[in-house]
Amino acid sequence: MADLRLENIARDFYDGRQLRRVLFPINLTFKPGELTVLAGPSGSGKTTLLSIIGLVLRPSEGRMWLSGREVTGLADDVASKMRLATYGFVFQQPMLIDGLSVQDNILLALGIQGAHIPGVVRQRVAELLTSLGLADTARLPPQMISGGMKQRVSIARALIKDPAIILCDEPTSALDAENGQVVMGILKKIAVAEKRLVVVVSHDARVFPFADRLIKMENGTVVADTAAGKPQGLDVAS
Amino acid sequence: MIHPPSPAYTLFVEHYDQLLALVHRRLAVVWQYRPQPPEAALGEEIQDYVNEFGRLLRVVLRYHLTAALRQEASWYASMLASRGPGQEALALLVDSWLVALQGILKPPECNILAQPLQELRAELATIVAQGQERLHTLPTPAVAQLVELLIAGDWRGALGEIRADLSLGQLAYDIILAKLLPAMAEIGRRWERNELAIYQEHLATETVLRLLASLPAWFAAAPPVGRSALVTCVPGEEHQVLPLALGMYLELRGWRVWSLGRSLPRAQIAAAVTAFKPDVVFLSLTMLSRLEEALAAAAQVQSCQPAPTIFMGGRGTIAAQQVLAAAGIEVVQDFAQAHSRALGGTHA
Repeated sequence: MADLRLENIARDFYDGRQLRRVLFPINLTFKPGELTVLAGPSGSGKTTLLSIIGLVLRPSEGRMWLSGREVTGLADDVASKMRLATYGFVFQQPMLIDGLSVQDNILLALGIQGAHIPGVVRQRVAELLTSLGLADTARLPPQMISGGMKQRVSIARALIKDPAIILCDEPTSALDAENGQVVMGILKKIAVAEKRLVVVVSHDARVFPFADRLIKMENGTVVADTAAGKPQGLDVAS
Repeated sequence: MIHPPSPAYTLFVEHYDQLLALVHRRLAVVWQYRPQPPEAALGEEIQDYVNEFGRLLRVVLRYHLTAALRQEASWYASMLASRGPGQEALALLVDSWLVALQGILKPPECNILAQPLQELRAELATIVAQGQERLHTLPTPAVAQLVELLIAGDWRGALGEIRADLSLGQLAYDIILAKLLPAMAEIGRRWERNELAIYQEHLATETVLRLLASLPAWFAAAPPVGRSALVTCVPGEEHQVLPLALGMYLELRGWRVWSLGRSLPRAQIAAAVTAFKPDVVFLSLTMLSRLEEALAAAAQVQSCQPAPTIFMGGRGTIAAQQVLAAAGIEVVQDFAQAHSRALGGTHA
């Protein structure tokens, strides 16, 4: 389990002529066992925030702690190791490699290639695929499965290293309504039953029912947070 | 004068159906993915209470009755908790409304509308604890005995209890206050605790109604006071026992009474007022969520000629006293007050 704490996190970008602030100081805490939806229009700063949370981008200001350890100014190689060990990422497009089977696409995240796959790893892949409703797809190439199934494979790839944190950028926007609900159901289960910290960036209102917490962003600031004023110690099953 | 709706409230009403749909959907999702998944889906009864809470929220946001939300929340907490979702049910419902408001509506309106719910959530643990305390108020042995008879449908036995009190010198209308109303309150608490099956609650209600109807045959009314009253629930309000008990109480105190029962459309209430020309109209409002209907009904009655004095009572009026006063409606807290205050009322 992991928790994240952000203190006055801000981010500037240089657009070639001037420094432009895209994220204004933000204070947030994310808890394990919760699915948080970051919502807002394009350009609101939600993907920038997700990238900072995921140690992909460094903040221009502020500090961030991961399970009590400050991770704000980590060297690139340390941040990279921490990202690999602690985070799983799911994107709008599943980004699977067509020339590899579903199983091999998942194993890529472990850096395993070739024919000699340890039994325990093979078992883990099989369990993951089964839990995501993909039991019979391990040997199929991605082009043989549907868009919704591909996104589930990308979730399996994110989960293979058992990360404490799953970050998802618009995971349902390329899916039809039914598959979008299936994917969100999986993410919800991952958060609640497996006590992982899940953050989903989305502007799709259909994901809102799955949110334990909803944070709305506009123009680089948090404009609404359902957890605002929520007393500590009053955790409920929601 | 009642203030016009705020822009935030107007936005809320425009999106109400969408918001409520999201609340229902989120509840279903949270229910499905709980750490220990329940065997059953959320029942229809729970869905009804969720809808009722939505109506309450409309009233609270329209009339800025934040304190009322806190008072009513205790009832919703126990109703939901005893019917499956457990102690955290109300928190789950409040969180679902917050997600709906902040997900669908834009700032600043979403934050304005969310604020009463966020304040409520901050106090939920206390509210739930107080609700549990209230629910476990014990009735007196005599009231408990009457409750058992009512639940068993034994109206003759219940009448025997009341006649025994009468033989001790109590007045019939005082027995309504001392015994029947506390018995009804206890039945309400048992209903909240989900200790009564639906048929038992219906049977108890029907038995009370039979008992009330039989009282004039057994007990002489006081001499006529020369006053008349029409007693009814506000439209949409189904809790009919209280107004019928009030009607009987007034009748035993010498009033001429017309009782119209539950959930009558306001045009029909006005038609009855026009036909009977009562001095006073008593409207019963148990559920605060029916305040809009109550105000609309009162306005229609006020337009009757001659316009009677309007009194309103019931649990729902406690928090809405200022709003009702602004609409020219006097709130009465109990039957005795209803009698004494209405005796002084005349045609407007």
